[in-house]
Amino acid sequence: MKILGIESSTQTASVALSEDKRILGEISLYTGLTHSESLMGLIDGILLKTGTPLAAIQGIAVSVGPGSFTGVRIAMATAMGLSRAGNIPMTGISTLEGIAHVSADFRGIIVPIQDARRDQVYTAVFKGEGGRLTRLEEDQTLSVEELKTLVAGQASPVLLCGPDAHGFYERIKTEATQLVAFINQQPRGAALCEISLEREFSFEIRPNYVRRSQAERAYFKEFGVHVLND
Amino acid sequence: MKILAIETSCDETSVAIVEDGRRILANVIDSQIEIHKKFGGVVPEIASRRHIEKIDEVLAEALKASGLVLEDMDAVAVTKGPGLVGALLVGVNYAKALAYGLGKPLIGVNHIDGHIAANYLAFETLSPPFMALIVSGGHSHIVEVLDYGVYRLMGQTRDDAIGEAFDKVARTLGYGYPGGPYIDDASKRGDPEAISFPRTYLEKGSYDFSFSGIKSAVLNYLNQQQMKGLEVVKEDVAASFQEAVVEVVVQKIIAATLTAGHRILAVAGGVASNSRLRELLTREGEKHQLKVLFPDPLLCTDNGAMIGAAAYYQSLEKDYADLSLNGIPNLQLRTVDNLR
Ligand SMILES: [Zn+2]
Repeated sequence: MKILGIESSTQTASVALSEDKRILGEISLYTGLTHSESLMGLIDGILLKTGTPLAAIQGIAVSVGPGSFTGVRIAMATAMGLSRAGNIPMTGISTLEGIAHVSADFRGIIVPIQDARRDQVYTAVFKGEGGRLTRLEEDQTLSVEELKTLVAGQASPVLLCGPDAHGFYERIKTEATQLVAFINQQPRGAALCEISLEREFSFEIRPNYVRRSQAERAYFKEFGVHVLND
Repeated sequence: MKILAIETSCDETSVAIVEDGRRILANVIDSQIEIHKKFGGVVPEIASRRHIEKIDEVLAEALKASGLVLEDMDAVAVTKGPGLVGALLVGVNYAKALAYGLGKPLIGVNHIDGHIAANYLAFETLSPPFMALIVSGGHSHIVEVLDYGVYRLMGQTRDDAIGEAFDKVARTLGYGYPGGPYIDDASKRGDPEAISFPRTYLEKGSYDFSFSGIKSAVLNYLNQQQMKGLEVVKEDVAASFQEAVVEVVVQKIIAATLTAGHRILAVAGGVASNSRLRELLTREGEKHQLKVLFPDPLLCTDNGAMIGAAAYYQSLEKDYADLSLNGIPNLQLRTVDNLR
C-alpha cells in the first residue's frame, strides 16, 4: 500500500512516500517560506522522483495540527483536493504525535512541544518503548509554568522534542525533573506515513487546532457558548 | 468548455460549474453571514476555519446539482485575490490539488474580475467594450472594460470601500451586520432629505470616491443630537446617509460613462443590490440613453460562478497558473496602465 504523507503545520514543509513499511522518499524544506507556494511542488516532486503516478497512491496521511492555523489548512486543503480528484482516502494525524514518533526509539516519556506564542506551548505526553508510542496525554495548550509542572511530575526520564524544544529546555529544567535531553526534531512527512499504517482511512478529516481563535475565546467569555464546533 | 470554479476570498464558500463563461450549471454558496453577525463583522480566522470545514461538501453539492462528475471538467479556477489571506489560501490550495489530481489546467482569477464577469452570466449578449461600476464591501471602482479581463481604471475609493461605509454607519446606528441590507431597508421608512449630509465630490473631474467624510458626518450628527438631548430617527439618518452616498456614486459613474463614450454600464458587487442605487442609476441612465445592467442579487454577492465566467476568458488566452499559485490579499485589478 502506497501512502503519501503531507506535513505543513509548522515552519517545515515535508512530504513523503511510503510503500507498506518502507519509506521510498521524503522531501523537506526548512526555509519557512510560504507553504502555499511550495507544498504542491514538493508533492509533484516526490511522485515524479519515485516514478509514482497519483493513481497508485492508496492513502494520504496528513498532519492536522496543532500548529500554524494557516499551515494546517494548507496541508488539509491540499490533501482534500488530491483525495477528491483521485478518490484517495485520508487520515488526519496530530502534528505532535508526528514529532514524537520520530523519537519513539527512546525508552521513557516523550514530550513533543511547539511554541504556541503568548508564553504557551502545544504539547502532549507519550511513552516510548523501543519504537512503540503510547499516548498518555491529549494534545493541549499549556503555559510554560504548567509544562514545567507536567514534566516534573513524570516518573521516567523525559525527552523533550520538537522544533522549539531547545528554547524551552532551559526554562523548564528543575532539580526534581528527570529531564534527560532535548532534540530539535522537525516534523516529517515520513513519520505520518508510518503512523498511518495503524490508522483507519476515510474521506473526511478534521483539523486539530487545539486552540480556538481569539475572537471565539472572547465570545465564549462574554456569552458562555462557542460559535464554531470544536 | 466546463470550468469548476472556487471562491473563498471572504465569508462565502462557493463552488460553481460554468460552461463557456456564460452558462451556470451549478452555483452553490455556503454563506457564513449568520456566524459573523455574532461578531459584528467578518472575523478572518473564523472565516478560514469555516471554509476548510465546508469546501469539500460545497463541491460535492455543486457536482450533484449539475449532474456532472469531476472528470467532465476542462479546468479548475479559483480566486487568488484580493481578499482575506487565510480564507483565500483554503480555496487556492484545494483548487491546486484538484487541478493537479485531475490533470487539468489551473486558472487563478482576480476577484474583482469575477464581479465584473457576473454580468456575462446575467446578460448573454454583453461583450466589451462597456463601462463598469464595482461596488462592494471591499471595492469601489469605476473602470472601462476594454476587452475581457482588460480594464482602464477611471476612479476608485481613496479611503473606505462603499460597502465598508454602509457597514460602519449601520453599526453606529445599532443595526446588525452586514449593514447594507439594513440601511437599505430602514431607508425605505425614512426621509432622505431629513438631514443634509455632505456629498464628497473631490477635485473637479475626478472619478475617485471618498466615503470617510460622510461616515464621520453621521457620527458627528448622532453625537450632537445626543448632546442636545434630541431624539434620533434612525430611519431618517439611514435614508439621508444612503441618499448622499448614492447621489455621488451615480453622478460620478454617469459622468465617467459619458466622458468615455460608452452606452452600456454594468454594475457589479454586493452593493449593486442596493435598491436606491438601482433606482437612481436606472433613472439617470435613461435620461442619458445609457443601458444600465444590474445582475441578480445572487450574482452580485461573492459566488463561484462569477469566477468561472472570468476564468473562461482567461483560458482563451491560455492564462494558466502553475503549482506555485499563492493567495494575494491585496491583488490589484489588471489595468492597461499596469499590464503584467
Ligand atoms: Zn466580492
